Amino acid sequence: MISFGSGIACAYVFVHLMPELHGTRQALAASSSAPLRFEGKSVYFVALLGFLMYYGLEHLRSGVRKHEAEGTGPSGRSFRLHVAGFAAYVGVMAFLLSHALEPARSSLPLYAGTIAVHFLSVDHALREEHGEAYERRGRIALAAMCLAGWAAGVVTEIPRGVLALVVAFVSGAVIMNSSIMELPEEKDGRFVPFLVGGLAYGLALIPLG
Amino acid sequence: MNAWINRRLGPPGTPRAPEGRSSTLLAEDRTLLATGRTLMAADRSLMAWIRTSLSMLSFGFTIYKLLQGFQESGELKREQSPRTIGLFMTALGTFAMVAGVMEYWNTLKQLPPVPPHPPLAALLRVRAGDDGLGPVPVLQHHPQGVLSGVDTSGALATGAAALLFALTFLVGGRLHPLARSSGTGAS
Repeated sequence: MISFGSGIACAYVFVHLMPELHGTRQALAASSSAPLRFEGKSVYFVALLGFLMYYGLEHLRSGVRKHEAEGTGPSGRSFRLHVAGFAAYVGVMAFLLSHALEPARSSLPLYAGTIAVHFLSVDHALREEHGEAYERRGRIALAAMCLAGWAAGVVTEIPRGVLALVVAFVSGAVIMNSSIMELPEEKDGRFVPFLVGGLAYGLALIPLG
Repeated sequence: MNAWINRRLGPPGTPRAPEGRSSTLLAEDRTLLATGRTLMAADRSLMAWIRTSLSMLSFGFTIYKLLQGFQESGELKREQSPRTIGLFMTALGTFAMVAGVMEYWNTLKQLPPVPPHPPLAALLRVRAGDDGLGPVPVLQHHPQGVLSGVDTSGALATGAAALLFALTFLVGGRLHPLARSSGTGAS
């Protein structure tokens, strides 16, 4: 199920978010009062930033974890870092529930379903990594961030250009986090459900747009 | 607020009553400026209330510690005095804060819709609005409260999705053992 969910998240990124990034680029170019250099290609760069930032966070967390295991660093920092990074991630995801670049009747259930199964993978990974601490505090914090992000999305209105950049950043982060959650060998990922989830959802997304 | 008003009326020095401008437009401008003044006065009053209440709260804690010192040295007869006075001051501070916020809220309700908070708008704004009246609103600022401008049905649908996200984390742990045992692929 977890591998299947990760496959779905990857399919969503490659078949839905990437085409949307193209629309994002156009939205960014249209929202600017002055002509943009490189015609808004910066959205792809922002997507790369999202990717790199979450890779950096994972790398930093591994380093901190190593120090904790060796007893050379304060305990609990790895957990706080991990949960804080993902709290920001789920908060932005929930914020985007109310801010679609291309509002369509089908996009909300599509987005909600995909992100829910992706969050299931995130929850599983954090639970395996931090055990009791995550069970006690981490999951509550992430659940609260979902609701806080949504509430912020409901009461605020952001310009289309900024929204385009946020969507681009999140796309990069989703790619990175789906990869982190599933691809390394020690994460116990299963290839067949991952492949089936990715292909089935990707094929289903093509007609839906 | 000033930036928004300047954008609407033109930079300082712009003639405020160009020839042929109707009295209705001039009246609208004056109403806008008056609304701005009222809002800024309300902001100042709220800040004063907050300062007062914070002073009362901190004074409550200070006087508690001070009287506790007197009590320990045996100079204070009544045992409960430090606690009572401290609690009274903090309660008074809290009451002042609530009263100030309520007064501010009531003032806002009497005002017509006003532009969003300028610093936040300046942070997130990328261009002027198409109507030429100023920045694209960031935080919907309505006299009846921020939620009055919200599309209720849309908010309910997205709220249900947000709840689903939250439940994923809250009850996700119960699904995982089932999820892993039903897997069919290679590790």
